[in-house]
Amino acid sequence: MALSVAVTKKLERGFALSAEFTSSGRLTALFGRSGAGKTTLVNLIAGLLRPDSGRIAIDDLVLFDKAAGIDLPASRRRIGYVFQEDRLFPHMSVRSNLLYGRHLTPVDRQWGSLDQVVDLLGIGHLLKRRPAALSGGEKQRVAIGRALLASPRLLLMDEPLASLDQQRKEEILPYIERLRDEMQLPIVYVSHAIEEIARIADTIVVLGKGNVVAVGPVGEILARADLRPYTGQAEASAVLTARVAAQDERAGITTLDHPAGRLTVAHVPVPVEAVVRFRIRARDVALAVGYPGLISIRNRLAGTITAIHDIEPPGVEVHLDVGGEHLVAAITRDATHALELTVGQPVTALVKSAALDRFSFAAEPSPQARQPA
Amino acid sequence: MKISARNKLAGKIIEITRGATTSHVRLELGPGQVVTASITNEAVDELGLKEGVKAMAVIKASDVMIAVD
Repeated sequence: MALSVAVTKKLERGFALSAEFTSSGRLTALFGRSGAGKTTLVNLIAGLLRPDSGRIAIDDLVLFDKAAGIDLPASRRRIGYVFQEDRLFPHMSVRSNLLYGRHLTPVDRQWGSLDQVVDLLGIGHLLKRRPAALSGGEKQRVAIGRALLASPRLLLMDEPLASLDQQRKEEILPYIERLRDEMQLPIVYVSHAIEEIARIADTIVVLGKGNVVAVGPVGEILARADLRPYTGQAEASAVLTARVAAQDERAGITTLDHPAGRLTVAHVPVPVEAVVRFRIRARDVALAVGYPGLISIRNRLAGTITAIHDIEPPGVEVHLDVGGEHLVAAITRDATHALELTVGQPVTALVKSAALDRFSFAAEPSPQARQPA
Repeated sequence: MKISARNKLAGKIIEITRGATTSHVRLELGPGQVVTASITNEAVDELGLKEGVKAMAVIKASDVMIAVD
């Protein structure tokens, strides 16, 4: 699946959007601060707003093409939409809410059954309830289920977790990961929360004020210092992927194999051989030249320096290639001089196990799920 | 060993409290000055840490806070 968007749109109060990107990711995140144009862009894709010019297509299916005079109405685009607020019908049961949009899709275009969707989202025990008797996280899962049962060809999720507290977010994120990995359904996910996106996205589109500033894989975008003003990150971070090599539940330790070294972290509840992704903040990474000696830091990744940037407050970001992935260390200028760090130099990155807690980890999009249906 | 962490404080271990996965190691730098490190049990074993052993606390500059009385 490839989503390609190249549109312009002028709105009231002088806001103008001019956005161009293509993504073949399973989950494409539209990321930017308030007022960047995320929701406008989503509304243009959904057909709720009409672009002034440009083209929008999912693979060969053209949703909008100004030059060719094509403008598929929203009802015929078959795009599922999940909003920040659940928008469930309060007088209807969960079951009726779920099935509400089902008949809008012709039978031969329908995919996924009620049982399948209910099972995927873990909402079987809620079917007879009214929305008022559900928690915020449950309502949002039902709203996702309703969108799925309309058999969309693309799912738009506009800040679906923004109104939930951290605990509810943690509850619902694994379901979004399953949706990404188990359904052959491309997702466009709007968020201003970098932690959410670091966990679930494979491609990120960074929006500035009405324009696309960058598009790329999650690890690359989060590590880029020049995007900091747009991502709003106070500091750089890296996203690495590793395979679970061993589980020692008695000791409470999970061992991960990364091409650049072996990592020992506090127990992560996933099976051996599973591939996980995790986020490491630049400030939690120290560097050593040569063998680091006897030091309590367990996690040592062999890397090569690819770039050194000055950052504010006075410090330095050292970018490394670790086994083909991008890692960033924030250290002092003093340390850079003392270790005589230069681009191309081999170093060892040291990360304390304690810096990698269970919230740093997420399921990596499974490779099978990336293949087209 | 050359390491980027700027702060290396030498001291003597006065107490190790072992938990399920991590140990709290108390290091006395001078009379009445104690820093505590939270490190894995594995690291305690590998480094052969026990009471009375001399060791260094290594702290990244970004993790140091300053307070005044």
